[in-house]
Amino acid sequence: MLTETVAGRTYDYSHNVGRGAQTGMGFNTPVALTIGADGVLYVANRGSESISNVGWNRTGVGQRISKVTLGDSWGDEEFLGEFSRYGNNDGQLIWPAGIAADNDGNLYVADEWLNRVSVFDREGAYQRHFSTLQPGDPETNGSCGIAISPGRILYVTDGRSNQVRRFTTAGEFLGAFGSQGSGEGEFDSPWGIAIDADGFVYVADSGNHRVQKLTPEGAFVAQIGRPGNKRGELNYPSDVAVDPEGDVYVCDWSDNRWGKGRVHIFDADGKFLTSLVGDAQQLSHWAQMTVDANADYAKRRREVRTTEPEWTFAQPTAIEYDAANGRLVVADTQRSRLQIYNKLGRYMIPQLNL
Amino acid sequence: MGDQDIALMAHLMRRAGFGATREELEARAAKGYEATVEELLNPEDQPTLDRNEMMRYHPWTWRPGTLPGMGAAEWLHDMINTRRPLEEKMTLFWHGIFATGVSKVDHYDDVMDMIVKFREKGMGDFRELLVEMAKDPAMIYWLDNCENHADAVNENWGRELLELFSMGVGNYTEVDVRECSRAFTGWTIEPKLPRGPIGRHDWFFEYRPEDHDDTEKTFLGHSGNFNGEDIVRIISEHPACAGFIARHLYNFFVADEAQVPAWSVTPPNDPEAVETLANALRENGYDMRATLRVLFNSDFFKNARFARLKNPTEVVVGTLRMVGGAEFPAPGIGDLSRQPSYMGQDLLNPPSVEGWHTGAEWINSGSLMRRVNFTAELVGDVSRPGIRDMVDRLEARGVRTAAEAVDGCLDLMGPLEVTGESRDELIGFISEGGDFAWGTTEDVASSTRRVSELLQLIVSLREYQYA
Repeated sequence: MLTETVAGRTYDYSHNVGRGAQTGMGFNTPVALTIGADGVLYVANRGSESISNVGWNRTGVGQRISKVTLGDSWGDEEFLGEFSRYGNNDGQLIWPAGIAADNDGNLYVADEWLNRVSVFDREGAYQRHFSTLQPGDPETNGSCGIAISPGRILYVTDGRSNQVRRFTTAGEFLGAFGSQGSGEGEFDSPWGIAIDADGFVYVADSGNHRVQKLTPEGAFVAQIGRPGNKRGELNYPSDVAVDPEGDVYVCDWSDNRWGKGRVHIFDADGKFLTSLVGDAQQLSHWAQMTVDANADYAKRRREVRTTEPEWTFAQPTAIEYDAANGRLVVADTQRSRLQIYNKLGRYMIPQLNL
Repeated sequence: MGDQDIALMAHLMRRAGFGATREELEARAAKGYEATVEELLNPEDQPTLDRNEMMRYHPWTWRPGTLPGMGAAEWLHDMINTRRPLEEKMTLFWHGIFATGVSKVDHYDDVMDMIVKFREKGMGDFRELLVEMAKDPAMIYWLDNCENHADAVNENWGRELLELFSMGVGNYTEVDVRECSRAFTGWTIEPKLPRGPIGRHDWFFEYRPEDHDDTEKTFLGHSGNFNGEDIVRIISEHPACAGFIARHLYNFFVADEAQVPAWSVTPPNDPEAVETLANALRENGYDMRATLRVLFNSDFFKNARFARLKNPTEVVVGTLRMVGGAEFPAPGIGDLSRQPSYMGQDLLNPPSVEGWHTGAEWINSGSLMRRVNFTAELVGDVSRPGIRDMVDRLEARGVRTAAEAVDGCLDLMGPLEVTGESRDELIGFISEGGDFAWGTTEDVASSTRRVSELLQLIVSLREYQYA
């Protein structure tokens, strides 16, 4: 459906942006999003491996940070550029997994293989990196989700050591909280992370199929969502976002009709409101360009009974709320695109017997 | 527990799986041979692997997404880490028979979907699997059944069904091929969305009654208005079918046989064993599980140690399971999944519908070099937990002389049976460093290095290429 309506607000599908591309206009398995200080959207592309005739650490394809604007409607998007690439040298990425922007426009990219955070300026120029590993840690921690608090503290989730670590933006370690488990304040493969205006921390506790809301120091506040595959239940949540009204958005890999993935929406008290399954009935502008340039693609699209399989989310991995524009941006990872929904507040549901 | 129990268990695990560590062999030997066979035959009692881990770290392995050359990464990871080794081995067995490749299909995901079907149905009723294959989109495209129409018959699927999937040459006529093909007209695939611009989509079987030849056929002496399911039933009732599958089982699990094209003119090496398996199939309604129970508990199986050349997948997966350290799907898994290809077995892309030729045909100077280099690098890595464990065991045994070290390593690598000449050469090499010592940290480091060198030599032996 194009509109998901719940008490007090509704979500209208707007448009989608992207197509599969190893470089340039499009994405390659986008797994993390952030909105920069000037409203530009940065997209971390996980990319893929390729047949190697050199060492494995030089053989990735499509890993990069894309810089785009989304526009207000179909065809308004702009590709502004891209930076970084596959590798373990300075400024390179093996497994980009999280990205966050500070108020100065600097970008912090978490790499869950290299266990480090790389810092770029708003133009993508490499600044520095720091390891998230501390003395005494195991060899790897799988730093993945990253978010910046109103007080400019970096929070990084460790998917493999089941912690949340805190750093200054300069990379100084401030402490960590959490441990392996399913109790309050414990994690199993934590992944995406978001921080609200009051500094509360929301962690997509992936392996526990829930989101946890925590104080800035890591004390448990509330659980959002519960495990399951039914409506309102979570199955491997990968990311979480929160809007200025306190609504919480969680993307996960639960079943939809054609693939896997939903966006579950909860209110500030954790009450389930509705879920989105993807609505891209029209190809994006860039995707349409590909079809227009390939006559056989166009012909085959005429032959299929329905294009419905391509409307829905396929393993969405990242979600971001664009507060300046009142809209939700979902990284529809396997379709290498972003689906965008506008949030309409103060919405009154019409009477049923119209 | 005697050495012979361990050796027999190692044999079973090499054949019914991809080998096992010494710790696992000891645990299984303590349980007993027949109990282990039963455990292997009932994989549903063991946990499956967490697919989400692979999706999380390598989202490019998602199906129906696919990537040129890298389609087998997920499967290779499964084979290395499965707790259900026979289920995975049977999957490889069926992939070699219903050999379907991306060279034509050009969708790794659709060939991988076949692999999933082999995993789910490969130990059940063969007749069900045969019908499933007739409806499989990759197979339909691979053998042109989408071009098999009521008014224009294409015999490719019909012919291979009889020749390579169920009976073998010599058991049917050209007319049977024609009539079989007619029965499968209308078995086709839905048009699917193209792979661009936002990625691939699943392919689905479709039966089009208007394109099915709905008239009488005469097939293998039976007449009627047959459809595809009737053909599978008639095939399974023919005496040749069970014998054909039995010979495949023998070749894959027991001992190297002649290649399939020669079967019509070359009798089995052990006709009695093949007939035992064929009878097991017939008596158990083509239940693969029951047939495998007969196979693994038979004397002809137990006496067939090292009677087969390992296929490349067994070399790669078996060595990785032995040395350990591949439990987490680290970067480079795509490259790892290519290794069997470099040795001559490009998974998901067999050379033809005939599958891979086996036995001595696996070996040529290039593929042998690949085998040796790949395995030598792994066993030379003393940080691998499996190698660490071997060194610890040798130290615990108090290995001191070169002969003790060689015998200990051969024991822990299999136990591996080598010729006296090979053993003497190994002893000659390693004795140059004198006796082994374990007293100081330096002693342990030196002995560890020498053990790894010895292991590297052992994997380069002819004997290591046999399962």
